[in-house]
Parts: sequence; C-alpha cells; structure tokens
Amino acid sequence: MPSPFPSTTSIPVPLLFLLTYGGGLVSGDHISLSIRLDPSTRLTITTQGSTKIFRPPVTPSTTTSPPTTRQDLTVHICPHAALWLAPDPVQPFAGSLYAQTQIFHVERGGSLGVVDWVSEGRKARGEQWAFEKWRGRNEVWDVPFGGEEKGEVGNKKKMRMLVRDAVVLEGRDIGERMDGKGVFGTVILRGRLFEGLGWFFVEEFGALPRIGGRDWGGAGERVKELTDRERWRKERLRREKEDGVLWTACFVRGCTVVKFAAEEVEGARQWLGSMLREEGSVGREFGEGGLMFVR
Amino acid sequence: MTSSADESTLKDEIARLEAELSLVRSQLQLISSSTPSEPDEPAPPPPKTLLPSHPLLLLSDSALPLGSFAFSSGLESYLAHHPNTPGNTLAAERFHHFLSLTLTSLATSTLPYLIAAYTKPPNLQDLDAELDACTLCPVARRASVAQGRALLTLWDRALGSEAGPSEAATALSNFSQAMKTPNSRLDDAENIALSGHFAPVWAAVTCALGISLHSSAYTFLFSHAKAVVSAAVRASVMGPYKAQEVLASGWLRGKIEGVMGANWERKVEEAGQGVVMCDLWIGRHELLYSRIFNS
Repeated sequence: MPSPFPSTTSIPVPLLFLLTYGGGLVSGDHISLSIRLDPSTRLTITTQGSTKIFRPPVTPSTTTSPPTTRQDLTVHICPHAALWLAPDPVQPFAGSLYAQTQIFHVERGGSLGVVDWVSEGRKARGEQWAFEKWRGRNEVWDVPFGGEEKGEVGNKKKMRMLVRDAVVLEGRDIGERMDGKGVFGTVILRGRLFEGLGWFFVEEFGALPRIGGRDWGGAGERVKELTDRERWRKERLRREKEDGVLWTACFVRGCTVVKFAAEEVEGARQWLGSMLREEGSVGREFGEGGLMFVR
Repeated sequence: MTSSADESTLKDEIARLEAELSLVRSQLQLISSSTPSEPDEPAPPPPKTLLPSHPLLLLSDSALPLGSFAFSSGLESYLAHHPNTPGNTLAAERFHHFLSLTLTSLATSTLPYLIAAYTKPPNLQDLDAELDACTLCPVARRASVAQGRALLTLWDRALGSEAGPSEAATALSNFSQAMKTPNSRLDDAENIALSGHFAPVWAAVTCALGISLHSSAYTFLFSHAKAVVSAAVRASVMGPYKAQEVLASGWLRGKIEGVMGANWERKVEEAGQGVVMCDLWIGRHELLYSRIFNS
C-alpha cells in the first residue's frame, strides 16, 4: 500500500516567500492572502527576515485614529496535504498599530504546522514593546473528510473550531507585562505529519527540571554515561537558562500548542532551531527550506 | 460653540438637581417610614431598593463552595519564577504587579464571554464551546472548568429553585441537562462538547438571580482578586491584615474599574490573552517542585 504521504526525496517541497515592499508594512497596508493546498500536496511558507511594522506618520491635529496595518491569511488544507508556515517574527515598531488573523481549515487527514512570533521592536533604538496596538489571532478549524467538496466550509454546523490562539496587546503598560522578555510566540501543530513533533515538544516539556527543586546529585553519585539525547538536552537547557527561554507545550483539543518567550529573538531562534533539528521531521518532510527561518 | 456648552452645563445641572432630589426623597421616605404613628408599633421595613442585593451577597461570599481556594491563577508559579534574591523587589511589590497582570489577563480573555453570556443566555452552550477553544493552557482550563461545574451544581441543588423563570434559568437547566447526557462530557480531543467554564456559567447564574451586569462583572473580577490574595496569604507572601488592606484599597478598586472599562466593548471574537506571560507561568505550574495550589 502506498504511503499517504509521498516521499519528498524525489520532489522537493515548494517554498513560498512572503515578501513585502521594503521588508515591511506601513500604516493602512492590508494584505489578504488565501491559499488552498490540494490533496497530497505540501507547502512551506516562510519569510526572508522579520516583517517590520512601521508607525503611522505623525500628522498634527488629526481627529481620526490612524489606520491599522493588517495581514489576513486563510488556508484550506485538503486530506493528506501539509502546510508548514514558519516565518521570521513580526517586528512592530514603536507607535505602530497591527492586526493579523490566520485561519486554517484543516480537513481530516490534512496536517498543519504554524510558528507565529512577535518581537519587541527595534531593540537597538531602545524600543521595548512600544507599539500602540498588536492583535493576533490563529484559528484551527476541523473540517470533515471531503468537507470542501460537500460545501461544508463556512458551515459552522459542520466545521468545528479546535483552537483559537488570540493575543490582544493594547494600552500603555505592555512592556511591564512582558517581564523582561523581548520576544514571544506560539507553535500550533495538527495532523499526522506533525504528530511526532508534537510528542517531542510535550515530552521535552515533561523532562524540564523542576522549578525550585534542589539538585541532590552529590559527589558520591556515580557518573552516568549520557545518551546522545541527554547530552543534547543538557546543552539545550544550559542555553535556555542563558537566553532566558521559557516555554510550555501541551496537547489540547486535537492539536499541540507550544508557547515560548525569550529575552531576545536570537535566543528564541536558537531554541526553536535546536528543537526542530533534534526531532528532525520538519527537515525530513519539508527539506532545508522548512528550517530557513531558524538559520 | 457657546450654545452647546450652555446646553451641556444645563444638562449637568439637571442631572445634579435630579440626583439631589432623589436623595432628599429617599431621606424623607426613611424618616416617614421610621417615624412610628403609634409609639408601640414596630417600624415598617425600609423600601427594598435601599437593601443590599441578597443574591449578590451570597455569590460574593468566599465560603461559596466553588473550590476557588484551590487555585492561585499562576501566582505560585510566578513566585517560583521570581525567587527572593538580594536586590530583587519586595515580595509585596511583586505581588501587586502580579495581581494587576492577572486582572488584565482575565479581563481581556474572559470578561467578553461573561458579558456575552449575560446578554444572551440562550447562547450559553456555544459560548462555553468557544471559550474552551480559546483556553489553550490545561492548567487554566482545569481551574475554570472546576469552578464552573461547581457553580452549576450549586445552581442545580440550591440556587435554582429560588430563582423565577427566565431565559437564563432555562439556559442553565438545559446546560446542566446536556452535561449529564452521556458523551457530552468526553474530554477526548476529537469529541469535544460542553466543558462548563466559569465565566459563562457565572454570567447565566447572576443573570437568573437578577444581579445587574455591572455587579456581575465587578464581582467576578473582585472574587478573582480575593482568591489570588487569599493564595498569597497561604503562600506566606503577606499576612491576613495586609491582605485585607489590599482588598480594601482604592488601588484595587481602580484596577478593577480600569480593566472593566478598557474591555467592556470587546466582543468575544476580539477577546484574547492580554498578558502572554500569564500563559507561560500558569502552564509551567506543572513544573514546580512542590505545590500548594492546583494552578
């Protein structure tokens, strides 16, 4: 019986770059993108750098509030198709207003992996969460097998929202809410192709050292031979501590949800890259293009 | 310009005079009702409007059997992530900061569901399902569902019989009926039904008992603050008098009013996490070496 997932060694997975003019979006820009993955296809979507969100021009004595910059993405994933959406972080500059919505309709048998992350702005210029407004919403909808052909997409009786990951950052005190972190993000995984990666995150989360526990390992303890995985984990934990990486992972409503934050973008990138490379399935199933964003 | 300014001044004046008039009227009412016509006759009771809301007193009691004392809403984990070290800010200061963050988080993510369920009780089941899709942290989910189900039981066994018929009462009895039917409580990822989240159930119960929406929302947030403050006492962050001082403070009142005001118009589709670090702290509660609380 042929595997429902065709091997990618023969056909490379196409790589789609989301490009913006000048590497960023200005006030009032509204990008709306709709993508459909046919049955048994694969796609990687990435960027070539952070998506900069510029502030609206300062115009004196305006009564109306400046327009919000928007990005909307809707994706339909057919059975046995798989999307890996792995861009660089969004980088909202001081004073910017931004809202993004990403809706994923995943038919039974389809697979989805999303990385969505945001940084504090232009750190070199001393910007720390100094934007005016940032809103992000990711929704994963479960669509019955063949639901698209039956016209069930958009029918709220047939489709079911599995997870909605929404962040609303408004107000004057956003920096204070971030506890010194310079970047935060979410990884959402759904479907067979990302099952292994999901388990990997959840198991590594379970293997994190207890907080507030003591290290009872004394000099008397026999030095154990570490496995490769243990050696990797030890080194990763050292980096996590150094880079102030905090993360969680869990299975929720048929998806795996990973939340992470770090002091700087590079720390988060390093951590994410280390996790993805050690587990290996993204590189194997989507090729090196799928890991470009953590290079 | 002048005429509209005059108009608003006049309107203000009318409002002030009306308020004064109603105050004087109620004073007269009190005097006339408390002046006995016959010296031996007991005073007739004051008008109902001058008495506190009976159901509100009941629901704001910390002895209400909802098990809220078992949850610290991330405080325990927050403290473990910010251990006492020399040069660190005082525990009390850090506590105030946390209390402010957790109220913001509750108001941006959950208050819209309370308002929506109160305004349209027949939507209770849909709102519960939608809120469940938005609750991505299992620790937070456990806390919300435990209290919501406890309140539902309380409604079934004690409160419901006293409340007259209403849309909200019908919605609650339908909800609790649906919870009892087999398969609807399966927490299986692919078979999600009703959860019984705290905020929508609270909204329906307060609505059915005739408590105003503003009182319902304020009490919900204040009860959350009380539970977190009580957790702080048991975690030895502060003593019982300091705890009451925090609860009595104008700072806390201002905070609750502030987050209510900032999120009052927010629709459920626009609800989201306002303090992303809260998800991380609450999620990492499972990593604590020793725990007093369930969240």
